Amino acid sequence: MEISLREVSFAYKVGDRPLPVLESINVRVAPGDFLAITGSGGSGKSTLAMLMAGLLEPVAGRVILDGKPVRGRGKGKTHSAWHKVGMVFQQPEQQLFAETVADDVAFGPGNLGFTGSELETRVEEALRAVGLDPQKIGGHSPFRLSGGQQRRVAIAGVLAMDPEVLILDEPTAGLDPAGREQVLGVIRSFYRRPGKAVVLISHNMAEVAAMARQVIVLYQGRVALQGTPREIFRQGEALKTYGLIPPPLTRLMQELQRRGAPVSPEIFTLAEARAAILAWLGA
Amino acid sequence: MMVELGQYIPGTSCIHYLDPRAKLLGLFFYGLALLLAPTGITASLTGAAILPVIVLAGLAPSFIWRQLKPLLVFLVIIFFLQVALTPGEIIAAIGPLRITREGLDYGIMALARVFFLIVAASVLMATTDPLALADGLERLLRPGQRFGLPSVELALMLTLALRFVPTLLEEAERIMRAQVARGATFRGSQVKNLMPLIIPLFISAFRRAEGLAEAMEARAYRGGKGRTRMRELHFKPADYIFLLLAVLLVAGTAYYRLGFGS
Repeated sequence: MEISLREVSFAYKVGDRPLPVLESINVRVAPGDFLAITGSGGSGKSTLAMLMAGLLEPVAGRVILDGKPVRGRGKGKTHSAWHKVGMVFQQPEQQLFAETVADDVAFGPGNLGFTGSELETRVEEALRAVGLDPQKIGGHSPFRLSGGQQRRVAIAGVLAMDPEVLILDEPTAGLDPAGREQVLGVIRSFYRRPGKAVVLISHNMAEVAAMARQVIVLYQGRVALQGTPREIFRQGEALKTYGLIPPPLTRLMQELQRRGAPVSPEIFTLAEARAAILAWLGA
Repeated sequence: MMVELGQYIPGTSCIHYLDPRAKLLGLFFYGLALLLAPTGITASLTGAAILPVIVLAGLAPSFIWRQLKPLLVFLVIIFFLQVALTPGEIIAAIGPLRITREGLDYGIMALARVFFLIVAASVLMATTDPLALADGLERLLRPGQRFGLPSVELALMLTLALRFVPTLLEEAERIMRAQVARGATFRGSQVKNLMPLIIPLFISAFRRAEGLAEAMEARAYRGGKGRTRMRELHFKPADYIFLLLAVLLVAGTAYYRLGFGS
């Protein structure tokens, strides 16, 4: 599944006037991609995510799935194509509604027409994929779980539809550190499966740096920067004008370098930082 | 975004500046006068008293029209029921339908009453900030406190309800999108299909209510007793003139009813 947005613009209508949100956006996501979309508040990240998931239709430009221009979800005859795109909203635990965890996870695949043992298998696989035991927790009410568990149940509800592209809007916001790590782990293990792609909307630079292969920085509805995390975070000053700052580790290394330490300022993970500092101290 | 029923249009006209209590009482007297007017013609003439108010408030006719549009069917039905079902002197007959002089008069009267009341109510809502309206209502209901009427609580409920309408609409849209992303359709008439929307919406509404109650308590809200206001309501000369005109309207229709009505 390949999602491609060409010269896409979007505007909300306030009163009779259009309020432009996105202008001339070009994005492409193919199997094996891990794209992070970042930007300060109000830069249009969430709107772009909804356009990529077919939940909004652009006012100009085209949305193309596997080479075919399509309309939004539920419009025209593009139903089945969109089902390969899963979208996890901000605070997805707020969409839980069923009496049991298993019923809630079954909602999506049930809507796709799965029934019986096939449905059960999908629910169990999805719950296991998010690190929850279907036997132990499947019969519980979702409202009795902890915040982190609720969020993983909600993500399981999307995974159970077996998407090829997973779009997540701030999936770790508001979670405690353990919950955050678990959710990131779920995303990593999804991405490791063959033929899958992830689009991560986040303003947590550490997450973006550690997970993404490609980064898009949005600023006032336009693509301001685009590249690998290395290329993006190298531009500390430019990032600042877009309301962002590089992740703490990168800033530490940049500061060390500024004070004369022979370390690379392009470091994004703890392991990299450790190796660089040990090398410097050992020398 | 479409224009909603009872929408507030901020402005600086003299009608906007009237005391909300004067406007509420004015609406009450206006309604009373409409009910007292004994014939279709008098009811229409009484109703026309709202026209200068609309002009003074600077409201566009198209705005009034948009407020009325959803209720149009209702108005037409009222009119035709009165026309068709009132016995009396027949002036025309279309098939089995007999139109009587009395029916026509009643029809016009009923139409004028409902029509002008809706217009006046939407003018009130359009020219009065919802908060000021709730304030005014609370002050007007205050004498009822002696008889156990919880006027402060009523006004608070009204204010909060108005405040949360757009918030809940937004929330509903958000949840709907999330469920559509999971393949929900929300088509069909079964309530069951709406559960994925309704249950999360209720849960979030309760959560919001709880949070709001805590936030109010944290800021020492404890009901109306001893509470001072940032916006004190004061009657100005214009408010007295406005009310005087409204009372005169009632007196006029009452006189007409007693003098000429049967």
